[in-house]
Parts: sequence; structure tokens; C-alpha cells
Amino acid sequence: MSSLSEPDFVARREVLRLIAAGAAASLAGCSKPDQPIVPAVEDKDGDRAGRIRRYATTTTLAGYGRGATALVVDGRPIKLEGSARHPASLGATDLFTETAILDLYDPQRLRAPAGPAGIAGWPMLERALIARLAGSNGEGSVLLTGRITSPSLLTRIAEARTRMPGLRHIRSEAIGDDAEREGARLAFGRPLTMRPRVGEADVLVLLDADPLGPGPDQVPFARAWADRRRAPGKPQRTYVLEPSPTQSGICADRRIALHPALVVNALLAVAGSLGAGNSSGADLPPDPAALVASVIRDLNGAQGRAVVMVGRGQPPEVHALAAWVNQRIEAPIDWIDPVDPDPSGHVESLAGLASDMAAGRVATLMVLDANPVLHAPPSWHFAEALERVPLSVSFSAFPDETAMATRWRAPLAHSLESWGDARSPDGTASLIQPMVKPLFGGRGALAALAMLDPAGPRPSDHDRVRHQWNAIDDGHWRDLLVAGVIEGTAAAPVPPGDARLVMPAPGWASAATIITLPPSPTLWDGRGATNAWAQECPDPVTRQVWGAALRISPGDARRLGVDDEDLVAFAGLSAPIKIVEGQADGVATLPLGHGRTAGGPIATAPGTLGAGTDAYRLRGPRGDWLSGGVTLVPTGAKAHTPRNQKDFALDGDAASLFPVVAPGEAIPKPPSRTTLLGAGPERPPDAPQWAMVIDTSACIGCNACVVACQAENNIPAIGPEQIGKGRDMHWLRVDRYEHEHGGGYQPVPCMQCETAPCEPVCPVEAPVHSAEGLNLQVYNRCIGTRTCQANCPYKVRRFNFLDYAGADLWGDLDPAPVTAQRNPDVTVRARGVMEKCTYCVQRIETAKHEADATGEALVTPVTACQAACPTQAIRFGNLADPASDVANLRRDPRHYALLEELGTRPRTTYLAKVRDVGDGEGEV
Amino acid sequence: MSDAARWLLPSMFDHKAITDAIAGPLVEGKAGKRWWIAVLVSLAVTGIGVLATGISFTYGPGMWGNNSAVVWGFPIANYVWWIGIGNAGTLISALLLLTRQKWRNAINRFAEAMTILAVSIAGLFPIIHLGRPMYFYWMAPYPNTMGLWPQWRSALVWDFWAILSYLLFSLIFFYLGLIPDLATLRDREGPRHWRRIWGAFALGWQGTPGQWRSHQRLQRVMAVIATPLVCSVHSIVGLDFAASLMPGWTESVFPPYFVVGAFFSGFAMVVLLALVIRAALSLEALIRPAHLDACAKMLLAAGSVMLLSYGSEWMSALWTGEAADLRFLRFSFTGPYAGLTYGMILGNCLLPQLFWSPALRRSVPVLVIVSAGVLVGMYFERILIICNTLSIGYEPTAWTLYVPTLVDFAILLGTGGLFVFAFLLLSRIIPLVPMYEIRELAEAAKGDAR
Repeated sequence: MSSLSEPDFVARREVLRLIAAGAAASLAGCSKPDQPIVPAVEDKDGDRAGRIRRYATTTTLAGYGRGATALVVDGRPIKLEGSARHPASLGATDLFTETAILDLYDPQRLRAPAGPAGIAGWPMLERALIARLAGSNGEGSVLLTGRITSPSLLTRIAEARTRMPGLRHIRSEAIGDDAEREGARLAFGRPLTMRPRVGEADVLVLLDADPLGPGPDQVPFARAWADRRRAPGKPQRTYVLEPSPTQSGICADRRIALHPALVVNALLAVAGSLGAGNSSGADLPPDPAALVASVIRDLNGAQGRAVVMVGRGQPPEVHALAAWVNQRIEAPIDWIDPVDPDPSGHVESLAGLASDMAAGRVATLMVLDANPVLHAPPSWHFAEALERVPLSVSFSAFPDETAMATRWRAPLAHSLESWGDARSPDGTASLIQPMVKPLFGGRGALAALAMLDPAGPRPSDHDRVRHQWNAIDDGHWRDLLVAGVIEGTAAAPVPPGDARLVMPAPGWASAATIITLPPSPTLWDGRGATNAWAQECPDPVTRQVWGAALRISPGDARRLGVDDEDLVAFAGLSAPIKIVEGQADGVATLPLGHGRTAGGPIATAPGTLGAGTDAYRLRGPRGDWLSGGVTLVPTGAKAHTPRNQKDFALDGDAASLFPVVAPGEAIPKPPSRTTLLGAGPERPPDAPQWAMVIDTSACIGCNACVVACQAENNIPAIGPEQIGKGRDMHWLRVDRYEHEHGGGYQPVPCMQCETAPCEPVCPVEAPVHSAEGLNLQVYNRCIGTRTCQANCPYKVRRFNFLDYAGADLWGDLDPAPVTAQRNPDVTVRARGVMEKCTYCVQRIETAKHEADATGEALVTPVTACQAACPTQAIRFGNLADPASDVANLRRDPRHYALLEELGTRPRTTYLAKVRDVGDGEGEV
Repeated sequence: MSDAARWLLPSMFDHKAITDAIAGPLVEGKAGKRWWIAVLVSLAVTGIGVLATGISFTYGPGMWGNNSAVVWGFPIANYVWWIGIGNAGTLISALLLLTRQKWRNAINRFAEAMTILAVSIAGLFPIIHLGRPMYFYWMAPYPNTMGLWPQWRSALVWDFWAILSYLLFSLIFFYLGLIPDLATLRDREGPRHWRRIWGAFALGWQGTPGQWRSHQRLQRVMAVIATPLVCSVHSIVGLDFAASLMPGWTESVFPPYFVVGAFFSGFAMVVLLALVIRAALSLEALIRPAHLDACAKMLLAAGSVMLLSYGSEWMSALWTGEAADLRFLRFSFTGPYAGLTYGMILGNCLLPQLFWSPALRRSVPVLVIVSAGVLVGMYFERILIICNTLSIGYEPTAWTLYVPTLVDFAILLGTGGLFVFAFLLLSRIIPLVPMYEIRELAEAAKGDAR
């Protein structure tokens, strides 16, 4: 110890005193908090940091609401799942709900209103609108929206129109239901919506209809369809006649390709057999004619238990005739008053608006969450007409085509940032409640409408919604927010009356090729084009990503002399070809929504083939979902279309990978083989043994599970160039098979093999086996030799060849917001590391923690893919529990394991697809 | 002509002539212009490879043609090819020593040098091909904070040991054989600093009978160790694939088939090296057409065995009738890689058949063409072994082709450049033909003549 000299000692004491004085002074100088603040040491209401909480809300598609559950952690939503109470969700989601969470954090979103002079604030936009609308009665003002089923929005619009009688509300949804409503009007005198009770149908006939395909009703229809087919001893036969393979066609028992113009002839034949009288000239090619004969035979024996459905691409007369046919066969159908109260036609009203704008009769236009510049038929010159409107504002989440064409654009809040409500296709109302404050300065639809009605009152969006449902008292309101669904609001079936017999003229296939324009199963009407997950999600039919090729039949390809990826020109556009087995001759198909010219770097990415494949350019002036006759001209060039799955032809082998059985038939058990492998390691007797059984008979190939897995497990989207090199990152893939016995979809996650071939080959032992039967990939240990994937016979592993997690698909935009979507319970993998499906081990571990913490029995967790599946094709559970789903399903006669003969003993197993061909023996 | 005399021109019966012929260029001669040009070119090519490897380390394995199905590609093919080339050197040194083949005497030094360089280059690839190459040392067993050992059941860990042991062994064997020659160089007139270096490495060799006896005994013992080692190294490389369940890889013939293929490609490289060295260093008196004839016979034998091995693979696929194997076979011959398959058969099996003719065995142009054909054919074989199986596995939805990128080719080229560069350097540092072994041959020839 050094000696203290007198001056140091004194100085030190002095300093200490000064410090004390200073501290006291600073304390006195600090402002005390107004109220005492106390740190939250106790765990109130289970609200620990990092714990996932679930809130009920609703997402919309084409204006219809589907109940959803938002998973929120630390104040930000990270995933959307289904709502068990909601009839349009039934606990599951479709692809569009799963991708919606990425839209919330999308860096491409508009962040501030922008006017003719550039970025402006909300007050400037409001001033511009007030200047135009204050004191006016709304003459020359138009509000253009998509379909609105939201009671509070409709009330608000009605209020605005009461104050401003001149205000017009034009409702035009891109994928509308004009043909269905007009058909019902022709048959019953008023528009009605058909709600088939699929579960009661022994025979289902789909004429150019794809109810298992994308749409607001996909989930409940698919569930009812799958439940019926799973029901033991109750066979159901699905017949499909369609121009191009769709999910419904691929999952059908019997399917034949038929030119869309000839679909009416098939229906005329059916109607004729029911007493409508013969139609001369209603000819059909021999194969479809044979199928129609089988249909007629089946319908004869299924009175009261058969349904005929017609798709949106067919004209109203065909829908009307179908309504008559359904009544004759006493189909189990409910007719309800349309949930969308607007009686006008979607196409007609938009066409009227276009001509009004061109004639200068529109002074103010507010577009609310609609993109007419994209989907209006080119002959209407909608964008040019829009130019003539002095004040136009588009409320949109993204800088889409319409937002870039109107004078003003303003950011619209995401449904996860807004208060609101919506009705599902069956009329059930549910609430939309926000999970976060608007991240990018957006305003919800209700607040946007308030700007249109400057003289009106300005309650908050929450108050408006509360007011809409003020019949519900405050006590129950809170319960309602928890439930999300407002019970008892489903539309009651109405007696339609007798259907008038409408006989459409027989159709004939023109010599020129026509192109059908269905909505995209991944992009819907094009709004998904800005979403990286939707772009990277493979198309259920062609497995294409980041773009779509023109689908033609093998016969047409031979006649044209083209092959896959050859570029052809038609009607001023160009697109690469994809030869599709099962496409009708003389018909090509180009899904809508690709080739967008605005929306951000994802929507206009080079892999999406640019403006060349915007199928909306082919819409005729009547807004048909068919182009006029076109001539396909091979250009000689080639254009690569990235695909997740190549075409393959297997002889005989495919039947062992994807067995298809007749109803009641059992899969023969493989002969037991002697093996040198032991029974496996000792397992603790009380450890759950996780397993999964996937019913390929129920899988409709919707890809909701694929995107749910991506959302749950922080799987990066990697872009078209990487997919083109064959590097897919989706942990779960849905394989499509087509062979002589039938076809269908097979989701393939990690098999979690009991004797996993990937485990012994890794030099650093990164894949290890848990006591619960999981094959665990230890990311930190992986050095990336990729031997595990080389030895995996199922090829379920995915490698980070580049820094995909940090990948920048958004061009110049800062991708940082996207990281907010990531699940904090799942590692974000670095470059050079192998990853794969983990049976959502984070959910398993959470469930185990809960059981430990509460002392209760383990609640079997639900994997993300299982939760998302509309048909509940994926079942996950504890094999050690003999009463569990998976244990029972393993005893099902249809049960099989993939590549069983390799001895991997997979924990993920399958139930074979059932196909009821009826009298179509030997038919392919 | 006596056995020993076949391998040596009478002009070389004199010890001084031997020493002058071999050590002369090394000690007195300056490197010619051709040498410098060759060094610069090979250095440039190596630089391209280093750049490509740097790009791969910076961005990741995504710079190659690998994809989700074909996860192995050029880097692993390069590894197997180079290891294969490396096999012949030790085989010549060891196996031919034990079988008392006199023709090994002239060629074994540069063959062993080839081995060391080839194995070193091959050993780079298990590091380069990794997704996280900075952790390559986790494949080695060392006490660590993670408390983990490598996975002993994995063939890649066996690879690690195989390469390590093989490299160490080859280095020791090479050095051992070099010692008497280093002593010769030390004792000869020449630049002092080099003589000091050679002398240091000569470890005080005096050439006493006792030392010679120990030397020979040690060489024989090492040769006995070498023979199973050589077989094991490439068998283990074969087990990388054979210890797997993928179609086309589940062949129990792989270990011996890889060993034969290895010494096949190695001999081809030895032939090329022999031709270059004898021309560049004017050693036609020491490396006789008889040497080339013997090597050519080895190539013929190995090529025929390769044909037999391919045949057994194809036959077993046909008679088992396993769907996956038949599909694999069809794909090999009619799929997108079919050109490589036919190239492989041409280079490996058909071209060496030219060597049934004694005249062609001694014809330099034919030797060059066939050896180059063998090397290329063996490379195709490595590519096909990897890409055929991974492209056409059990799950058809995962079938994907491998399309190599420029970076892939650059890395391969770079290793070739590195090999040539290192050899050129070696040729200026050590004698590429063993002087004392040629002297032994000369004594034996003189003895026979008497």
C-alpha cells in the first residue's frame, strides 16, 4: 500500500465530498417521474417476454372475410393461423392468409401520401380533398372499391352518401361473380348465391369449376369434401370436365379435358337426360361424351345426393341451366341472398366508370384497395380515362398500377393494423382487430372513407366498429374480441323458388386458339405479385415460380412445333410455353397476376418475365375470362421458367411412391425383411414419440402448408435465379404425381427416420436423434459437407448455398422490416448450414415447457403445416399414445411409408389416395 | 539383352555419367527460358484458381453448380480425381519394389513427388467444398470445449485419417529415398548455399555399407506398409459413396474399383510426366522406351479391369432388376450426361486397348493421347459417379441436373496450374530421377554383361 501524502489524502476527501454533493445536486436536479413507475417483475397474465400470444382477427380475400388467429410476440405479429370458430376457416388457412403476414412488413409498402408535387403529408391530402368536396353534394364524386362485405364500411359509405347524395359507390372486384349472379337471376328472378352441402353429395360434377382451387370458399369446401371422402363406407365420386388441369381436376376421381365452349354441351346432355329436351348440335368429342354418359348414369342413381357446379368462366346461361339441373336432381344446396349487397355487376359498373371518366363526368375519384388499372380490359383504356379525372386518390398498401396512375396515392393500413369487420361467403360476420399500430403511417379503410366525407363526424375506427355492433353490450364485446366471430350472423338459406329452364345455345370450339384466364393459385388476382413468398410458392399444376408460362396441350405443341420454354408471341404479348398433359386441344391457359409493371421490385422482378405475360391484357371488352381467338407464333427464342419440380415419367415406380387405391382397398403390407439393424436405441418409456401421418387423399395441393412452414420457421425466399439453379429452400414440398392409376398431391416434409441415413454420414455429427424420435439438425455444429443430403433418399434437406437469410430481394429497399416477421423461437440459419423440417420442434419444446411449468399433462402441439391444412390432411401426434390420431391412422388399411424398402423406418407416413372410378375401368 | 540392361543405355553404365546426367542440370545448369515461361503460365493459372476459391469463400458454395439435389459436384470430383492420381506414386515405389521390378528405378522419384503434390491438392478440397470452411478442423479429434468427437461412423472422417496417413507416409518415404541423392548433391561441386541446404537435409549420409543396409531394409519395410495403405486410402474414398443407400452408389465393388481406377489415372499421369521430364531434362538414356512400354502395359491392364468393373456394375443392375438401378442405367446411357458416359468408356476402356500393339506402346504421340484420354476419362467417371446418382435418385420430384459454373472450372484449372507450378519448382530443387537407384541398375547391368 502506497503511503498517503498529506495533500493527496486531503484532496481525496475533498473530491469525495464534491462527488457526494454533486450527486445530491444532480438527484435534486433530476425531474422526478410524475407517477411512480414500478418494473414488471411479476408475471401478470402470463405475459412473459418472448411468449407467443394469440389474438382473433380476420383476413379478407376478394372482400370476403376468413377468420384468423394472429400469433403475436413482444407486440408484433409473426404469423397468421386459422380460427377454429369461423366457418370459412375451420381452424385452417389458405395460402393467401399465410402470405399476408409478409405483406405487413413488406418494405415495398407506401409510407406516406404522395401527390402531384411529390411526397406530402396527410394534412395536404386532406386539404386537397376538402377543397374539392367541402360543401358539395358529391356530384361527380366516385368511390371505387373492390367487393365490400364489411358491415361497418358499408354503413360508413351509406352515411357518406346520405350527406352527399351525388357520391357514387362503384364496386368492382377483379375476380367477380357476375356470371353466377346473373345465372341465378335468370333462373330464379333474383341474384342468389349457391352454397352446396358437399358433405351430403355422393356425386360431385364440376364443369369448368375449381372449388378446390384458390378462392374465398376454398377452405370450407375442401374440408367438407375431404371429410366426406374420409368417411368410411361412404364413397363419393368427383367428376371434372375442364379445359386445363386444376387442383379440382387433379384430385378428382374422373377428369377429362374439354374445350370451354363445349362445356355447355356437356350440361345440355345432362339436362336433356333430366327432361329438358334434346339439344341438336350439342356435340362432344368421344371421351368427354363417355364421361358425361357416366355422369348421367350416376346422377340417375343419386337423387338428392348429387351436385353440379359450374365455374366463373362460363356464361350466365350455363349457370342458370345448372341451377335448373340441380333442382331437378334435388341437389343438397342452400341458396342465400348474396352477402355482397351491391346488386350491380362488377364488369358492368367498372366499364361504366371508365366511360364516365373518359367523358369527363368524374371530378373526384377515390380508389380504396382496388387496382383497376391492372385488371380492367385493355380496350377500356382505363388508365387514359383516369388521366381525365382532376382529383384522383388511390388508397393502397403498395405502389401498384392504379396508385401510380392516380394523382394522389396514400398508404392503406394492413388488416393487421386496422379495426374493421368482414363477412365470409356464408354470411358469418367476424371482427378485424389490429395487432400493431400502422407500421408505415397508413390509415385504415374507415379512416380513408372519413376523408371522403370531410363534413362527417370523426370517431376512431375502433369506435365505428363498436358502434356498428352496438347491439352487443360491453361485457359481451370483450368476449367477442376474444372469439372474433359474431355468432348467428350466417345468412339463412332462402327458398329460391322454381328454377326457370334456360336453354343456352350449343357451343362449338372455334378453330383459333383461345386462352383461358384463371386467377393464379399463388397470386390470386395479382395482389400476391408483391409478396416474395407467394412468388416463390410453386404453382400446384406446373410447379412454376416467379412467373407463369402459357400452358398448351401436347397436341397443340406438336402442331406448332414448340417445346417447353420456347417463347411464343400472341396478341401483342409473348410468353414461354409449358406443355401440360390434360390440357384440351385448342385452348391455352395463362394465369392472371403475373407480368405486373408496378408494385415494387418483387412484382416486377426479372424472373417474372416482365410485361410480356400480363394475362389481363387478353381480357375482351366484356371482361370475359377468355381471350378472343389468338394465333400462337413461335419466335424461336427460349425463356427460362424456374420450376421446383421437373417433369418426369416413371414406369411403374410412381405407383409405389404414390399408390392409388379403390375405395375400401387396402395397401398390401410389405413383406417383413430380416435386418441386421437393431430395434434402435433405448427410449425412455414416458417420452412421447412424435410421428406424422399425411392423407394424400385429402391433400388438394393448395400449398398453404408450404407457406405456413416458411412463416413459422424463418425460411428465406431466395429469388428466381436461385430457384432456376435448382436450389429450393422450402422445408416442405408438395409433389404432384400422375400415373395410370390416378394422380394427386403428396406433401413431403422430413421423414424423421428412426434409422436415418443422414445421421451416420455426417463427419461432425450435426444430425442427431432425440429420445422422442426426432432427427435434430444442430445448426451450430454443421460445417456444410452436405453428405447428409447426398445420403437422404427423400431429398428433404435444404442447404444455405449463399447467405439466403440476409438475401436482398427488395432491390434498393432496406429489407430490415422483414426481419420483424421472424419467429424468435427459431434460429435464423447462416450461410453454409444445412436445415430441414424439424416437426416444429420449437412448438414441441414450448408445449413441454408449459407442461413442466403448470404441472399438467403434455398437450400435443400442432405443427404449422398441420394447422394450416384446409382439409386436415396432416396429422401429427404422439405414437406412444395408442389413442392418438397418428397411432390410429397407422393402423388404417391405406397406410404406407415412402420408400419403405430402404429400411429408413420413417416417422412421417402416408395414407394412400382413394380413387373411385365407378364404371370407368381402364380409363387413364 | 539382360533384364537390367533393358532399362539403361550402356552410356549410362558409368556412375559419373549418371550423376552428371541427373545432377548436372540441377547444379550447373540455369533454368532455361522455357522453364520460366512455364512457371509464369502455371502461376497465372493457379492465380485464377485462387481467385475462384476466394470468390467461393466470400459468397458461398452457391457460386458452383450445386443445387438441392446434386449437392456434390466439381469440388468432390476434383478431390477424388487428384487422390486417384496420387495413388500411383506410392504403388510404383512400394509394390514394384517388393516385386523387384527394375523399371521402377528411373520413375519412382517423380512418381512419388507426383503423389505428394496430388494428395496435397486433393486434401484442399474437403476444406474448400465445405459450407463453413473455417470449421474444417472439427473433423479432427481434439479436446474441445464442446465435448464432441467427430462422427466415427462417417466415411468422411475415415477420409480425413486416410489422407493424413497417406500424406505423412508418402512424405517420409519420399524423403527417405531422397537422402542418398541429397548427399551426392552435397558432395558435388556447386553453389554453396544449395549444397548447405541439401547437406542439411542429407542428415549426414556417408554411404557406408551399414547405412545402405539400414536404408534398404527400411525401404522394404515401408513398402510393405505402403501396399495395404494405398489400397485402404482409395477404398475409403470409394466408401464415401459405397457407404450410402443411393442408387448407383450401393456397390460393394466400389472400394477395389476405386483403387484400380486410382492407380490407372496415376499411371497415366506418370506416363505424361515421364515423357515431359525425359524431354525437358534430356534423360532419354535413363527413361527408356522400355519404361514407357511397361507403363503402357499397366494402363492396358488397368483399363481392362475398369471395363470389367463397369461391366459388373451394369450387369448387376440388369439382373437384379431394381427399378431405381435400371433407371440409373438408362439415365447414364441415354440421359443428358450420356456424352460423358461415352467419353469415359472411350478414354478409360477403349483407348488403352491400343496398347496391345508393342509399336503403339512405344510411340510417344499415342502415349500422350491415351494418357490424356485416361485422365479425362477418369475425370468424367468421377463427375458421373457423383452427378448421375444425385441427379436421378429415388424421389423423381427432386431430379435436377448439375450445370457447372465458371468458378467450378476455374478452381479445377487452378489445381492443374498449382500441380505444374509445384513440379517445376521441385525440378530445380531435387533430382527427379534417383541417382543411386540408377547406379544400382548400372551395376546389375554390368554384372549381367560380365
